[in-house]
Amino acid sequence: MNDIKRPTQEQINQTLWNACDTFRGAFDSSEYKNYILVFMFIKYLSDVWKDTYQAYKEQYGDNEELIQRKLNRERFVLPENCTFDYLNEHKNDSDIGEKIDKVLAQIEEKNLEKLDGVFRNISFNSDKLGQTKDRNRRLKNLINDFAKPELDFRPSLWDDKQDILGEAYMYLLERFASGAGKKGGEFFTPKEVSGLLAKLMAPEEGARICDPTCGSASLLIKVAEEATDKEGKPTHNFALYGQESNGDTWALSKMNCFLHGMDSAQIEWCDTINNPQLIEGGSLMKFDVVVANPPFSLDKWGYENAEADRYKRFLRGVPPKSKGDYAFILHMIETTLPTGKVGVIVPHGVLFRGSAEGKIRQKLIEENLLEAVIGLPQNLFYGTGIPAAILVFNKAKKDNRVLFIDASKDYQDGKKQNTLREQDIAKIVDTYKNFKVIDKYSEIVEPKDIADNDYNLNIPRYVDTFEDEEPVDIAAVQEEIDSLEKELLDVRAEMNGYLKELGL
Amino acid sequence: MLKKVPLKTISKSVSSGFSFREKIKNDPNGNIRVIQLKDFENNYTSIGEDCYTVDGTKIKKKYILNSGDILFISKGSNNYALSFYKKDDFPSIASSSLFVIRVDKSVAYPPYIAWYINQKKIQTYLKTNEMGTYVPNINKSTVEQMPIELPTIEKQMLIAKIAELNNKEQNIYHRITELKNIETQQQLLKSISK
Repeated sequence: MNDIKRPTQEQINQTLWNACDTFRGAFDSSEYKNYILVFMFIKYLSDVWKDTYQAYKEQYGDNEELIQRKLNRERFVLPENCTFDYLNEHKNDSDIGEKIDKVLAQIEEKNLEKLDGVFRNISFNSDKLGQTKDRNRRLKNLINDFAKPELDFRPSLWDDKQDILGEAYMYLLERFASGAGKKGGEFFTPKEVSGLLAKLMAPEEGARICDPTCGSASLLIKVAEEATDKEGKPTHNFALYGQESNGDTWALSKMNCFLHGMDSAQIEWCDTINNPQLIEGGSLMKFDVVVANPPFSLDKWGYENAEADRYKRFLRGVPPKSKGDYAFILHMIETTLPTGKVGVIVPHGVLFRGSAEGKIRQKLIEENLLEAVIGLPQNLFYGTGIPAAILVFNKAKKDNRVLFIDASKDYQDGKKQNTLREQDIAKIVDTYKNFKVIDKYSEIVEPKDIADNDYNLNIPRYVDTFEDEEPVDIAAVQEEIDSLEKELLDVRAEMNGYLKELGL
Repeated sequence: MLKKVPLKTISKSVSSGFSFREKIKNDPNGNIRVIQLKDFENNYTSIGEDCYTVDGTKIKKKYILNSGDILFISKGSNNYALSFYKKDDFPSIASSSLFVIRVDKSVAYPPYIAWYINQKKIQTYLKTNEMGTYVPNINKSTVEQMPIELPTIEKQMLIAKIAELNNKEQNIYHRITELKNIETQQQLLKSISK
């Protein structure tokens, strides 16, 4: 089977992206992305299923009963007539939409523990996909696209290299995010930024990792992928937790984890601030690593209930009604173990806004929790050009100083968006890990100096990146002006000569 | 009054620049220089020093520019022309957003033609003939039909020379203004601490 030429990652990505053409025009990308991603997931499940069936068949021959029994103990169980092949055979049926829905329902039913609610919000038989005739045509196209050999996800073809699929899924998410404009940031953090945050967090073996605003879980997965054992080798020994408030995005995050082989991730659906779901024995669950890219300056984040919060997350102060940044930061700090770390992506306002936020910031610094402030280049995120910063909190901080990094000038210029290059990420991570001071780039600051600055964390106050102005030699400038004026006279004289010649 | 002649009648050839299949990427080891829109400097009167170089093995000889070839910008809304001259032995070609016009040098002096194209009369003619929805574009036949006033070759040379000097004058002016600004700001800053 290995002699088949395997499509490259690019080909797969491209084929998937082209499959979206089916829906384009009919409705918005923010809607159809769910259809494509769900369909990709179903295709994946049924390809895996097909493969396993084949393997058992080779092992046990015609003993169908034994095979069925074995199959029922698989990671995912597909009931009869619930495979992609079944849909492919029925693609010309007039009730294909209904058939797909039935398949989804049955798969969910059979794998309730893992897939409960994942397909809840999606219907392939909905009028959203057009009237019956249009809808059937679109679904048929969709099935045809996924039947292409490039999108054969059977693990045996891939030497079990599941990351290719995960990559493809992330690729689609990213493409959708970049096309969705302002809404794009809602479910995806650019992969360079999540990669940077993951490297900064560098989880150890056995770490409990959480993202309280996990979106499509891409950040969470990136962090998990950075987990290493004591010898520095990648490990799969970690536990993932997440929570997401948007139901559709939550479903995407579940599928994303499954496609990355991180089946045990516990991802809850609900608003983290108002209804935290990751609870253990009546209080908040605690983690070794907490990361997030919370919505920037969220309005109406749940101010009303904050004061009386039953988990007492806002004892340091209640953030302002219209800016939820510190609500998320405080939640993250409260859910971190005494040895744990927090890495959070925030808009710059978090560094310097006053009143309630200023007081919270002061407390966090006085408690010696803040470890690093990293300023990122502008225009890295989807749907917003504003520059962001990463705050790192460390509950087991030994030193009482704070590292400031101004990384805002190192990036790859992009047409629509800037990106962090590998060397930019490496420089930040190296500076952070070694607590380095680099001229015009980073600085280690005493808590006293921060207090002197009224707990304002604005990066230029601490890291001087201004280039000295080149001294101007006035005499030389005057000399150049003189010689130019002379030249001007010459040119004019020459011109006059020619003008006369022309008879003017 | 001088009779106007279509550009075509005084040209040996009017051809489009080399059309690359992909985005033009700079290859520091390239053996051929590509002149693109971005290389037009000083108000479209000269070619800058930062031209990209590319691998020229697949590019036919006929695309290589000679001194006296007129480069005409056909894409975009600034449809200006300049007379190319070789400043070294490194071969150059024009990108596809340019037209290369080779005039018959026995009747037309290239810098004069370039200057004439940049004047209001021809510019108006071009505006009325441009096509394209987002990026205005001048097509080949419009270029070929440009009505040119053609005095004697001596007069053409004289006009071109004066136009060149005029240009030079402008550039010097510009530079002087710039320097004066630097000088004044510096003196003001100094005066504070005096």
